[in-house]
Amino acid sequence: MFESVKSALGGSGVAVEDGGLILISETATTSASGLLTHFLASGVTNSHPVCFLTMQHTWGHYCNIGSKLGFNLKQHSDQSTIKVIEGLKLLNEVLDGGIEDIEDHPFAFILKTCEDPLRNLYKLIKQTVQPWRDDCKYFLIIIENITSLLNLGIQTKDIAIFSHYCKNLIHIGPNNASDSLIVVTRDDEKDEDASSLTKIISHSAVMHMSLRGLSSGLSREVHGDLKITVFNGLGPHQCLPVVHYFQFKLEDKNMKLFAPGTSANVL
Amino acid sequence: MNMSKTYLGKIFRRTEIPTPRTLLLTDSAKVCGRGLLYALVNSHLGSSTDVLYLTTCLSPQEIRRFVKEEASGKLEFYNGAKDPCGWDSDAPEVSLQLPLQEILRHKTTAAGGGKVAIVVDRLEDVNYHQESSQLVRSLHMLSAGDNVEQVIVYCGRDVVPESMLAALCHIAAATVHLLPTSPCSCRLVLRKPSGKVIKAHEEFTLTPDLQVQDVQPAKSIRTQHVSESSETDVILAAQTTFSLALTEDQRIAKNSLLLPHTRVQTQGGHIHYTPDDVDDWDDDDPDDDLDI
Repeated sequence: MFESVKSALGGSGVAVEDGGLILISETATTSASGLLTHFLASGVTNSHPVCFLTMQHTWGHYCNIGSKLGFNLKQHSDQSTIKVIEGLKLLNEVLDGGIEDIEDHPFAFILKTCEDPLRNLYKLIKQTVQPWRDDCKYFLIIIENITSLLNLGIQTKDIAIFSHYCKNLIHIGPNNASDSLIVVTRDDEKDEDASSLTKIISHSAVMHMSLRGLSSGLSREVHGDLKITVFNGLGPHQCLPVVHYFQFKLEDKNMKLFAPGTSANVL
Repeated sequence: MNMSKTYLGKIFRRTEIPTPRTLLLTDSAKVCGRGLLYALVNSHLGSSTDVLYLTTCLSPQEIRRFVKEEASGKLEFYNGAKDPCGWDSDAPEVSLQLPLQEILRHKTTAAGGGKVAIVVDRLEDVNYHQESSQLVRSLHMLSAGDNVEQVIVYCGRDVVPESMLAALCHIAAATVHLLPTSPCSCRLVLRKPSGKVIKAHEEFTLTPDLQVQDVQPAKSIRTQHVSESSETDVILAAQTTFSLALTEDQRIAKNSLLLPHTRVQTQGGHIHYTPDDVDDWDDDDPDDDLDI
């Protein structure tokens, strides 16, 4: 995992293990893959089971990134520490026509009109995490990238309902401890639906990590801005969230975070 | 300033006469109004009003941590967060697909004559399962109930459809829009039965035990959370020793400046030449004598 991301989150007063819904938003010029790899590696390192729903990239993509960082993610998925639901593969199954009865298929909505198009997908995730819930074991659900469902013709309200049900899976146990749900969205001001979905999910999130490219152009030493917004950290009397600003640089085996104005260009 | 003279103070001390039947409380992704909502609920419970709380986002267990259940006022939850549309069971405890007056029917028409306050937390979650027009109609019918003292509607104004927000503002007797400012402030609109509309912008403080204090008309409010483009300006400005920002006067002067080429492009340009007496005005090439 990336030490600078870990210390940035620690400095923000947030630990992923505290639980709750964490929103990561990316844009067309930035990618959340770096942060997702950090959370996957963190889960693996701390022996927390992970349910990973990939919609935008294949599992092989993340395995390749993991192998560069020294993690054998494929081995962990074989051992069921990481349970992967590959959205692209499931989509292919439906489009290929290889499945006769698609009634209960998570992507049945592609070929037939459904009242609750994402219900089957939710049931698949629930089925995957149920053993961990029964054992009261802390687990992590990662959904990447939920806004991809908009491209499949799903309406914003249906995705909001799906997100709500996924959040219900991370139950609150004694001492208000909770599991964690990480949702990745694409936040593009030119895409109204994606932007609206990001706002909807941010209302339920305990933390929002927003990745943006530099508005002034490209830089070799700074790849973008990261804004970490923490909600409700001190209690509901705190109406305004606590905001931390960082800039980041993606390296081959690392993601560096630093305070604005302290990049190698300046120092 | 005496809190009882401020409109927000009157709403929270419930000295506004008559009590606004429908109160709309809105927030956004940049500021959370949940603390204010809990303060209002506590105010009702503290004055012997029962509260019927429809929750769609948080579990009753999470809300009970902050809401004081006084002996005089009872708090009853309707858990629309658990299984709002029956994905987990065929008969969910509370289905958000039903009209609100059906969900709360048994209590709003209960015998006993006790006054009740109804809380809908959060309205956009109900809107995912019902048509906007039906929802607004339900709220209007609920507020007309004989034993209903107040209907408190909590929603995010940046996620509710604009038409629905407009309809809610129309039926609400009091609207409180929480703003992302420091100190906390809100814009209020109060519609009196006489037809008078009062608008106010007031700042306040919320204590850790959710008491609204220090309410006063907003003075110079500093917006803590500026827009996206301004955030980038702040980051850029922090990286140099030069002042990259513009003052308000400089910005106005810059925007009103009409550059010469802009004027020519829009209005067209003409060269007016009046030849002198000694000018040889003919069509010959003037550079003929040059040996180029």
